[in-house]
Amino acid sequence: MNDLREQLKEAVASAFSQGRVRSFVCLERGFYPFATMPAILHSGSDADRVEIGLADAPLLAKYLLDMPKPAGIVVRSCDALGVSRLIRDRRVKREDLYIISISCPGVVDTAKIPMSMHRITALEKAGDALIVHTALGPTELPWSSVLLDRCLACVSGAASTDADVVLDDGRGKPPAPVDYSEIDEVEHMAPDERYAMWEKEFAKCIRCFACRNACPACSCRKCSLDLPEPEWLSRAVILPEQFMFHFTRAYHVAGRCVGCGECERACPVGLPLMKLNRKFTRDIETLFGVDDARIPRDVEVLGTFLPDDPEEFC
Amino acid sequence: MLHISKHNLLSLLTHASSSWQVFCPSKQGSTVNFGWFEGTVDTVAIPVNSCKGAFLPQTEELFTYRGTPETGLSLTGGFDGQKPVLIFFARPCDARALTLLDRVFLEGEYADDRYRSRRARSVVVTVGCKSPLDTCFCTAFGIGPDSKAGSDVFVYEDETSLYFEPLTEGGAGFVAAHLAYLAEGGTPVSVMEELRRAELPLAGRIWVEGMAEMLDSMFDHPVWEKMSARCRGCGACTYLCPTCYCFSVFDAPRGTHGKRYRSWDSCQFSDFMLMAGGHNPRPTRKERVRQRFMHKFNYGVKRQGDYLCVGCGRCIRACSVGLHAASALFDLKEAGR
Amino acid sequence: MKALLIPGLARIESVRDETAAGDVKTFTVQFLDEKDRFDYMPGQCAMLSVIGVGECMISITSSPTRDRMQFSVKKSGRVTSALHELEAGHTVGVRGPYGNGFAVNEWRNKRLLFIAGGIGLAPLRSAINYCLDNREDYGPIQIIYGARSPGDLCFKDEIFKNWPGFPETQVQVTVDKGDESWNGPQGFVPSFLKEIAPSPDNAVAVTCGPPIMIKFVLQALSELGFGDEQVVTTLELKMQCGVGKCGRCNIGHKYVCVDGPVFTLSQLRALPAEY
Ligand SMILES: Cc1cc2nc3c(=O)[nH]c(=O)nc-3n(C[C@H](O)[C@H](O)[C@H](O)COP(=O)(O)OP(=O)(O)OC[C@H]3O[C@@H](n4cnc5c(N)ncnc54)[C@H](O)[C@@H]3O)c2cc1C
Ligand code: SF4
Ligand code: SF4
Ligand code: SF4
Ligand code: SF4
Ligand code: SF4
Ligand code: FES
Repeated sequence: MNDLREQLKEAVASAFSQGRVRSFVCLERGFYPFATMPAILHSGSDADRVEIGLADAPLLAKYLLDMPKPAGIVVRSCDALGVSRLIRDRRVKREDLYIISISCPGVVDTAKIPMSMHRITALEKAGDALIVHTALGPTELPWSSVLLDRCLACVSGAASTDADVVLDDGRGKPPAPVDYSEIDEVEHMAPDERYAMWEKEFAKCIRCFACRNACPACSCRKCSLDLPEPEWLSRAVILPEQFMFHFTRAYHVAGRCVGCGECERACPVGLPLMKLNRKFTRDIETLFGVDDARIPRDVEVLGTFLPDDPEEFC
Repeated sequence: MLHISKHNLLSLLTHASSSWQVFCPSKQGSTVNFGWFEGTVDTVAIPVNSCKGAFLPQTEELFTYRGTPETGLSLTGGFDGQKPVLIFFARPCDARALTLLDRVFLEGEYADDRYRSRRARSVVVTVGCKSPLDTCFCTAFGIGPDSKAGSDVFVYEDETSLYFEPLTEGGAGFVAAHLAYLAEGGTPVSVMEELRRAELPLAGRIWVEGMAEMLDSMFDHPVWEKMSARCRGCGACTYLCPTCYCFSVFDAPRGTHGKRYRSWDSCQFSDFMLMAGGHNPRPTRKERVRQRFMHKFNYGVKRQGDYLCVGCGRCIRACSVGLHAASALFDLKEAGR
Repeated sequence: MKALLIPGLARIESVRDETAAGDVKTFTVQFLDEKDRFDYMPGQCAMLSVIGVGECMISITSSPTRDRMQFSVKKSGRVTSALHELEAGHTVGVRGPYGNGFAVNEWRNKRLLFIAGGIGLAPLRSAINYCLDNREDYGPIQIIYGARSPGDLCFKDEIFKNWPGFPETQVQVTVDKGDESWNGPQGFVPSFLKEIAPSPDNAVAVTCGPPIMIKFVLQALSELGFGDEQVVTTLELKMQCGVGKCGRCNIGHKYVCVDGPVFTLSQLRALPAEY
């Protein structure tokens, strides 16, 4: 693990020293020493700050939009999908990017560490366990019980290969089996029951736009929902507007969502946004016969019309 | 002290809700949120949002209009005497935050009539925090798990019961109205002691003394650029903060009638200050993040006489990229040395 | 208690086009209900509503010494454009008065210098008419006004006919670029001001106009020897409530809607330059 970090620091420093980048987005130690946060570096001398991100690692792709180019980025495979999304949506150019991909064993969601264990002083990965150090001493938790939801659906923890530098220590998380049982559950609900569930969830939404602002597929410079004219969405946080917002968001990313889960992670009130996103993803997979609709491809499923496309879209 | 067994709490609240609008935490999906009482209450978790929404609703109707400017108009104000608000289980930080919002909405040349009428008859019942979270740093602002500022009733919680200590006339009135549910006897001394001793993990790292004065000369400091680089410009931090209060006013027309609303707004949104003609005095994240923290730690002190932060840690939990009051106080202190 | 954010309804009595391009109109309004009427001082503002579209902050351009309330509005966005569609007989919403207004009482016996550009004359016009209606209380009055073109000059009746007729009152008008009808001075307001070179002795200079003009006027005034205390300007920031509650219009810890919009230059210098 540490080796990977050393290699990464070197790779970032040399990207600067070779003049390959003007800026670099990576993770660094957060205010809580066991968590990480995004950092945008402007010089190789900052490379010491680079962290792999054991816990609470935000995804970084979207920062590329505003960074001075050529811009570097450290990606794990979920973030690599986001970068690929931005490239295919023509928000950034591949030649303006310097990508370092790393392998990833999964990232801890500190919110999943039981409350009784707060006062965390340090976190440590030991094989298949997470050791939570607290003032009262260490406790071991099974690794898979504390991972971010996104990791439970990970495409692959191996370092992605479309990168300028590939750093893989062989400890990447194996691809997660495809599991749509959560979507099945929602689909099997009676319509009234399902409506009531979404109504309840949408009513909770405070329309803070954290989901949209975190999403690599929501990259419009000026979001149509922010425009005063025509006003698609008023600022009123009332139920009809909530439905309007959530449908618009979900439809706008349909076919382009990379399943990174950053929207849901960013949501401060815990809306299950992935239930909507994954429903679309699955429908696209079954209706259009594509393999893993999260992976951006040259021929966009919903962005391209083929004569044999199915007529219905439910 | 009057107390109630935890088992009977729901019946007390159900009874209370016939004469009060009860605002309480309850489990909603995967989180515990403050909201209007709908038959359940969660007395354990510290909710992700604050209770400011009971007095400053996220969206409220200012009036309904009929007609058009051309044919003539009538306005009907949508506000009349509603049941008084009962906050059931604020935390000491929440209660203290209400006193800060009061300074904004009730003091000065203009008082906000809606806020005032909701607030005037409200009763704030606060529970002492026996298990502060890793994100709590209220002690940095001179309060703590047993602070009573802003509360009408203070509640001590032990394993089985809740002990009610009325602090104000309003609080005594509330307690008196629910005597049927309360039993006499006992003082939760050990709970009181526990609250007094409770230590907050962040307390040692956060420092506010002299912060306002220090910031006077830091408006142009490069730290703002560095701090704000990771901000996603969403409204999560400000919407969940108990002391943030920015709002905007807008109309929602539907043909020849419609409504004017006010809704929370956030100084972190890119168009918050965008003016007709395209000028934006806070064009980038740097200015917007600076505004947020300067407002809390400098402007607020000058205007409302105190830091506009109570260390509740909600922004810590809300922000997906770790930019919050605690990290800001820490970084600013480092930068201002 | 009076509802804070609810406007009173007012009838538009007349609409006057100020400029050739039709982008500035002056609305004379009368409250429908006497209880909504309010007193005000020069430099104060009101929130004007086109109900169904929204509200915006507009200076009251009439002087409280005159009996009708007037607003001059430049078409610049949603609400102002909707206002421009309205005609006499139509209904608007008005709430106010907001802001500190000009310190007209402190100006007594001083020489007054008003410097305005374009629609910036609207708030000054209230103060000018107020001082002219109390002529004996004030020293000589000098008004320097400019606009992009002759067609863009507002309040032409007053600047050319009415005001110059008052004792010890001088009006000097320039345009950035003249046309065949124009035989007055040409050039930008700040350089025009430097040419005229009014004396700072016992004077107050009051300026309002586009930000770029204000910037150079302030420079010119200090070159002419005006102290920061003698220079008064008005600020414009985005507003929503007008009453210091919505957290919108602050510059540092000051709120333009309640602490302003009128500031002396020395007050401004104490604030962060974020406007
Ligand atoms: C103290 C003060 C006095 C003013 N006096 C006048 C005047 O006498 N005549 C005149 O024509 N204009 C005046 N303005 C400017 C006027 O308020 C704006 O042009 C107007 O708000 C634009 O609104 P809009 O809806 O047309 O624009 P939009 O861009 O559609 O704005 C939407 C909303 O944002 C707010 N807003 C946007 N720009 C501004 C701005 N520049 N200032 C304040 N709020 C803004 C308003 O609430 C507005 O309704 C004044 C502004 C201030 C602050
Ligand atoms: S989804 Fe996969 S690559 Fe992404 S953080 Fe989780 S384990 Fe790592
Ligand atoms: S992040 Fe959550 S609360 Fe915020 S707008 Fe998105 S769904 Fe709503
Ligand atoms: S919608 Fe959510 S899961 Fe999909 S790309 Fe955007 S942030 Fe990732
Ligand atoms: S600080 Fe965090 S929560 Fe606040 S706007 Fe920035 S990203 Fe959003
Ligand atoms: S700034 Fe953060 S810690 Fe302070 S009161 Fe607001 S939410 Fe709580
Ligand atoms: S306009 Fe709301 S605070 Fe000034």
